[in-house]
Amino acid sequence: MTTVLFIVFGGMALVSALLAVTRQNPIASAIWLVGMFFGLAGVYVVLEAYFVAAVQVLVYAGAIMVLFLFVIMLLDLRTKQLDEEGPPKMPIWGVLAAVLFIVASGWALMDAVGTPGFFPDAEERAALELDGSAKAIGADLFGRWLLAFEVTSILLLGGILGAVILTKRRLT
Amino acid sequence: MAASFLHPLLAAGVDMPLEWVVGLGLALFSVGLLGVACRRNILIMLLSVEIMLNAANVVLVAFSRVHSELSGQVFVFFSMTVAAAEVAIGLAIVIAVYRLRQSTDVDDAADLGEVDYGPVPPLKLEGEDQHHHDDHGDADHSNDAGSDGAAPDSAEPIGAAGEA
Amino acid sequence: MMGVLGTAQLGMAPIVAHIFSKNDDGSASFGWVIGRILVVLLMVHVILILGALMVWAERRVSAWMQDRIGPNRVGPQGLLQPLADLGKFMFKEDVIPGHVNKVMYTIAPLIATIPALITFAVVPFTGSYETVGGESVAVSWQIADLNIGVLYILAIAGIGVYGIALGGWASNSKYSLLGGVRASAQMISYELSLGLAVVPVVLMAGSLNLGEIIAYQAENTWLIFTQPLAFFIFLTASYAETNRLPFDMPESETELVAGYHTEFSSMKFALFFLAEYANMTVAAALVTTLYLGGWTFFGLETLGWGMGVLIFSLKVIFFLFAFIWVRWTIPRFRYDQLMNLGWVVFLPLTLINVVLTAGAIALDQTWMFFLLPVLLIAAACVATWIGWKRDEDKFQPLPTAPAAGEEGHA
Repeated sequence: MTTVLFIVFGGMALVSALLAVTRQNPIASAIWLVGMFFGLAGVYVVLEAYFVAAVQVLVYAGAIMVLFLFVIMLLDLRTKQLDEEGPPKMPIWGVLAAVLFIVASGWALMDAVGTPGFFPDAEERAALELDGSAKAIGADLFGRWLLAFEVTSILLLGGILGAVILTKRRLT
Repeated sequence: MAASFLHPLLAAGVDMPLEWVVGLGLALFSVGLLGVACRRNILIMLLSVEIMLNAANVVLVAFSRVHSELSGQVFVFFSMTVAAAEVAIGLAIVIAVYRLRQSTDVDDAADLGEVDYGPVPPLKLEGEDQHHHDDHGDADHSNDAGSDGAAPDSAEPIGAAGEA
Repeated sequence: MMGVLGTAQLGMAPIVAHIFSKNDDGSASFGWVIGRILVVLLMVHVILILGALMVWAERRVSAWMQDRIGPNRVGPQGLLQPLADLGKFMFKEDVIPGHVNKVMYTIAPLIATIPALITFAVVPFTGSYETVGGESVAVSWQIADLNIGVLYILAIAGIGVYGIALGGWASNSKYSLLGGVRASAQMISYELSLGLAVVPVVLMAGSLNLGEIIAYQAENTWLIFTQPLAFFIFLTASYAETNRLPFDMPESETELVAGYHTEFSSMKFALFFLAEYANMTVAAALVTTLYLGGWTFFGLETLGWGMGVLIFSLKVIFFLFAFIWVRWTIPRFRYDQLMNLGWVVFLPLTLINVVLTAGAIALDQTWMFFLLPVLLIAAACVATWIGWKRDEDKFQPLPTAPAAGEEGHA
C-alpha cells in the first residue's frame, strides 16, 4: 500500500517539477511547483513524517509560493511578450549536465545500496519506532539543535534586512 | 499515533524500499539542476533552486525514517528557513533588476561580464537622454550612490524609471 | 477509540454500529470505509447548503440592518431564494472572455473552492464524554482525527488564495489583476498573525489536535477567557483571510468593480461565491473550536445526544452572523491601513502575547495572561481620553456655521 501511495505522490512531484522547469510562463511554473510541494507532502505522509508534511504545505505552498506569485504578478509580464520569446531554449550542454549528474549520482547510490548494512532490512526497520509528532520534533529542535535554531533566526533577520534594503527605492 | 485516520491504510508501516525515495530526491535534484543550468528566466531559476532544496529535504526525511533519527526531520525545518530567506532575498533582487532592465532574463543583467553581450537593450533612464550609449556604466554607479542617500539628485531618475 | 459515526449516540441500532465499525484488529473494514464516505458526503452537503443559506441570510440581515425587507418572494421568508439563484447560475451562459488565459481561468474557481471544502475534514462538530482510565474525558468526533489538525487547517486554508490570485491574473484585466495581487499580499500578511494567534492556544492545550484542545477547554476554561487578545486577533485576521469586510480589498466593488471575479460569470462566479462562504464557515468553526470550547457549553452538552451538534451549530451560526454584522457596520479599510494593521499592530502584539503566554505557563503565573489585554485596554482608554481632551480644546466653542471641510474631521 505504501509503495503504491509513494509512486502516486512521488510521480506527481517529479512530473510537476519537470513541467515547472520547462514552462515558458513563470505563473504556470509556479503553479506546477505548488503541485510538486503537494506531491512531496504526500511522500512525507507516506514516510510518516506528518508534521513535516503539514509544515511543507504551510510554508512552501502557503507562504513562499504565494510570495512568488505576488512578485510575478507585480512584475506583470505580458503574455504577449512571453509568446514572442517562443518556447524556452534548453542548451544541450545543460541537459547533458543534468543527465550526467543523475547518471553519476545514481551510480553512486546503487553502489551504496549494494553495501551491506547501508540500509537496514525491512524487519529491522519495522522494529524501529519513529515518533514524527510535533512534540518529539519540538523537543529535538529546542534541545539538541537549539544553537542552530538561534542561528537560523539571525539568518532570517539578515534576510529581512536584505529584502527591505534591496527593494526600497530610496533610503531616507 | 499521528493521523490515526490513515493508519488502517498504513497498518503495515512503511514497507516500500526506501532506496526509491533517495532516487526520487536524486531525480528532483537533477530537474532543479536542469532548470538552473538551462533556463534564463531568473524567476524560473529561483523556482529551480527551490526544487533542489526540496530534493534535499526528501532525502533527509527518508534517512530520518531509515535510521529512526529525528534530526533529519529537524534539518528539514532549517532547510525550509534557508529557503524562505533565499526566496525573500532572491525576489528582492529580481525586483531590483527588473526596475533597471524591465526584463527577467539573466542575460540582460550581464554588465559585469564580457563587453559583447549582443542585442541587450542599454540601460535607459528617463531624463538622461543626453547621455549616450557608452555612459550606462556611470549610470549604474550613480544608482549605487543614490541608494545610499549620498547623492539624492542622481537618485531621482532611478525612481522615475521605477515608476515607468 | 470512538465510533466514527457515533452511531450508538445517534440512537441507531447496535447492528448498524457494527456495520460501520472497524475490524477487531483496527484495520479498515468495508463498512468502515462506506461509513466514512457517507459522513464525508453528509458534511460536504451541509457546507453547500449552509453556503446557500448564508447568501440568503446575508441579504436578509443586511436588509434588516438597513430597514429594508430583502428577498421574501421565493418560499417562506424568501428561504428558497438560494435555489432560485442557483438555477440562474446554472442556466446562465458560461462566458469565457476572449482575452483570458483559458486553462487557468477555468481551474481558478476550483482551486478556490476545493480547499475551503476539505478543511472541514478535521473540524470536530460534536463529541461526548467517555471514561478513559477512570477519568471522564471529552472526546470529539470529526471525519479525520488528525494530530496536527490546527496545522492542517492553516495549511489547506492558505491554498485557497491561489484560486483568487490565479483567477485575477488569468482574467487579463486591470481590476482582476489588482484584486489578485491584493489577495496574495493580504494573505501573506495576515497568515502570520493568524498562526501566531493560534500558538498560545496550542501552548496552553499542549496539543495541535483540535479534539484535545476542546478537551482541555472542557476540563479547564474556554480559551477566550484566558486568551482574549489572541481570540480578538484571530477573529480579525480570519476576516482578512476570508476577504470579508472590513478587509475585502481583493474585491472591493467601489474601486475594483468586483476585484478578482470581475470577469467570471455563471457557475464559475458561483464557485467563488461558494468558496467565500465555505471559508467563512471554516473560520467560524475554527474560532468556535479554538476559543469557545467547540461543542461544549458548561455541561449543557451532556443533556442529550443531539446537544453537541446543536451547541456547535449555534456557536458557528453566531460567528457567521457576526461576519454579516461586521460587514454592514464597519467601513472598508484603506489598503495601507490594512497592511499597517497586519504588520505594525497585530504581528508585534501576537509575538508579545506568545512570549507572555509561554512565560505564564513556564512560571505558572496566571496573571500574565491578562497583562497585555489589560495594558492595551488601558492604553486605548488613555489615548481616547487624550484625543477627546485635545479635540475639546480645539473645537470649543463650536463655530455656528461649520465649514464643509471640517465635517470629515469629527
